[in-house]
Amino acid sequence: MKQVRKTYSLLFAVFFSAWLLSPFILDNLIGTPKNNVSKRENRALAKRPALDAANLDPYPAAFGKFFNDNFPYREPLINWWSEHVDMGIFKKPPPNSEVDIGFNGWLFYTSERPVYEGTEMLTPEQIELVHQTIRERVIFYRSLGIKFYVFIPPMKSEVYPEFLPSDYMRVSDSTQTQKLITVLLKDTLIPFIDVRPSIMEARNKSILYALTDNHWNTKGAFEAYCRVINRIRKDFPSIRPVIRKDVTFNPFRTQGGNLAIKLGIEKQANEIQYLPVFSPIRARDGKNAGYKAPPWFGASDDFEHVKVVADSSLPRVVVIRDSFFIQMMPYFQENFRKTVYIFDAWQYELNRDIIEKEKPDIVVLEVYEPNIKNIIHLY
Amino acid sequence: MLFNSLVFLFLFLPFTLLGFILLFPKLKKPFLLFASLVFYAWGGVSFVSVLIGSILINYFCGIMIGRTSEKGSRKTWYILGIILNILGLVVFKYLNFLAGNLNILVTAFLMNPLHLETIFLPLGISFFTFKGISYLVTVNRKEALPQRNIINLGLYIGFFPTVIAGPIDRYKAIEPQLSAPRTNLDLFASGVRRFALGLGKKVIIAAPLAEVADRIFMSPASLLSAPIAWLGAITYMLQIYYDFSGYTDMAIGIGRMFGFRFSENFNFPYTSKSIRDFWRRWHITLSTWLRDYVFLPIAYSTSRKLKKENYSGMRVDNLIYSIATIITFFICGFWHGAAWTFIVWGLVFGLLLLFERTGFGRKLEKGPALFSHAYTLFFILAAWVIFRSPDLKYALRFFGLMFGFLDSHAGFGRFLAYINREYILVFILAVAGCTRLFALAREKTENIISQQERPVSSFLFNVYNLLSLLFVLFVLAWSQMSILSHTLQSFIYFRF
Repeated sequence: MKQVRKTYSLLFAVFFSAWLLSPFILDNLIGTPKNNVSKRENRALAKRPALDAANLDPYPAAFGKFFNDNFPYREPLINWWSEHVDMGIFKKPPPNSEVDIGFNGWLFYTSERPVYEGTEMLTPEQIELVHQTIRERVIFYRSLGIKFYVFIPPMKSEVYPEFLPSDYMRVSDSTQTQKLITVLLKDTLIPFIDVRPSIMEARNKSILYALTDNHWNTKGAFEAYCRVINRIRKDFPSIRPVIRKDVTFNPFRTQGGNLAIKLGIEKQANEIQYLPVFSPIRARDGKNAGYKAPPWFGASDDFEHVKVVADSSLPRVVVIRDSFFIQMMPYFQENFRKTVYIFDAWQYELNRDIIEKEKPDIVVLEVYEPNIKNIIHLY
Repeated sequence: MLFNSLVFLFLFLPFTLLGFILLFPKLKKPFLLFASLVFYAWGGVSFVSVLIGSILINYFCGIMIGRTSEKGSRKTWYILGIILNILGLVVFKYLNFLAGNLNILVTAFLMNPLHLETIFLPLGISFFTFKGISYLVTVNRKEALPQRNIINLGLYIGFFPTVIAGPIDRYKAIEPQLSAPRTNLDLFASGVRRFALGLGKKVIIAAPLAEVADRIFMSPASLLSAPIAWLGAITYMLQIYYDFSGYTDMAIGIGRMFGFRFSENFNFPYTSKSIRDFWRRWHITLSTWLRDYVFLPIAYSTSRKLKKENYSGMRVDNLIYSIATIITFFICGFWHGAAWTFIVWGLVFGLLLLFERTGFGRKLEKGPALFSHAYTLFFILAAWVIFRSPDLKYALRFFGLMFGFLDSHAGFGRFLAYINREYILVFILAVAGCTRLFALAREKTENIISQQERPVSSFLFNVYNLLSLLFVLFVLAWSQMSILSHTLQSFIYFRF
């Protein structure tokens, strides 16, 4: 018995040591693939921090992050674990994935939940501040002879609450968005375009949002486009919008969207999307003016995009936007001689320099519902 | 650095073990102290000076206490040492709290409030301060000689397995082990088993429970209901036990790998039949420290001052017990954190102990076990709600929800959403692990094996050991994967 116990003690020691040293062996003796970017996490992996003897305090945390991010076979191991254990056995989202799993395969972005539930709520003073900020812009743009329009794409949870997980619950009769919209609609000076009625009407006829992404799809974007362009057209009758019967939505199967990627199941969670087909397509790439993105903005290449249509009767527009406008672009840019898209890192600023340089006829501000607080810099 | 971090598991621990095994005996202890300082620095490089300061102060005071035979001078160094230890704790842990409360009074009298920069808390200061005090008391009572080797004292106070969360071993228990820490294969293997058990408790059981408890305790009251509040309280009760006892298991396991034997800290506390029994089973090294260094000295000194048999109809021994208990549990609560919730948590236990000192305590002992367990668990649960709450107002609201005094809009769907398959599995394991079920099963199995005749017992012994090896490897692998998956930090919008 004593000998057997000794043998097993040795085995415990050997296996435990092998376990402790396994990453070191994999990394240094066998070699592991090195990545700088994690596709799943949509971020750059941490680099080994420099040791600064004069400022040692931040080093451990930075090194810990580097060690975690560069752990041998980290991403494949996590993906396997997410798929087979978290999602497979336990039927729950992986840790820190920020995704809520709804009914019938619908995924929702967790950070939008407090806005839906009403636990994240702007105070009446803050709502008034947003209102006044928009009002001042209307007045400013008007002083330059520019028409200004605002619209707010609604969250998926507002449009399809029936697919939300059962624990989503509203604590207030009204959300901050509803309160703001009420205020904006009352102010006749502000050309606010409420796209929600169109979306809510169309949602029963077709799926307007991606199941595995927090954005609307091309159909949802088209409904909003119709509402927006019809309002602008009242002031600019030369616009000939893309109309419903001109567009065919060709279905195609594609990988899961940004929420599926966060769960690591984008390949399994493929879904139907729609490619809008219409003609003629007149908008062509224009020349960027080279406006500078904020230095901290990761997607600086998306800061400015220009589209032009060779038709001098059409007005010029600057669109201050976020990612929700992407699906609207194909239709929208057809209606303007020059469309300058500015993606200012969710700051939704006045962008005075750009406006003064571009001298557009129209400015459109598109603010995704959870981001309305950004207008008054409550990030 | 936390035991359940990848840096600790796959960088610090293997290289510290390797260094310890490969180095010449003379270099082993300096190496362990150096490794301990690196470990401590991971939680804040600047704070290493606090730990080194504590080691130096206690070393110097200990030497001075031992050097002087004159009673008065000895006492001076002893008191100075104790004051310096407590002063460190007060400055780093309690000053912000004291200033905040003082400002409430000051502003009430329309005076200008004090302005104090936020002082950050060095990790484990409460633990290593108590160890420092234990050392000085031991030397002063002449129960041990002053430690002449500063590395030995440094290891007692700051050895990495225990520096952050104990156990708070007495100096007398560790001193004999400090001369030449040496491990052997059996001790190392038992350390591995204990470490794996602790890692599993922390990562596989406590972490999923913490996810649910945190979500509930961080929700606004309007999103909670009575069933959710009870779920949160019970989940937190289990989480704190598995979290803390898991960490202690890992500390004990690592200690064994390096040749140290640390004291046990938990003995199935949720099987207690009274609050008195609970404090004999929960955080044992703290409760015995408080008993020996706070309760008994207060009781002795009070008894010398109280000469009468009765005070206002209360027997003098009961009065002494009451005073000592309330002060001890006030300190116990305050030791856990600088907030009123912790103080009230401690006082609740103190009052319950006084209550049990009445005839009720005897009834508990003689009455039905089911009632004793129910009573004890109920009050422990209530105390944990206070402990977990950010403030007393929140705790009261939480109790209001638990007992149906507050209206709630949260439906049963919201309650069910907290309970996924992982939670159910972990909850069952956690509840079973709080009882003696697994320990009894293990004892029974070992008994059955030892009672068999030679070839059969040998075969069964092999199977038993092989299964325990596989179990340990499974726990380690599962824990590693779980820790790794928690390093995920996904963003919808790019963060490059």
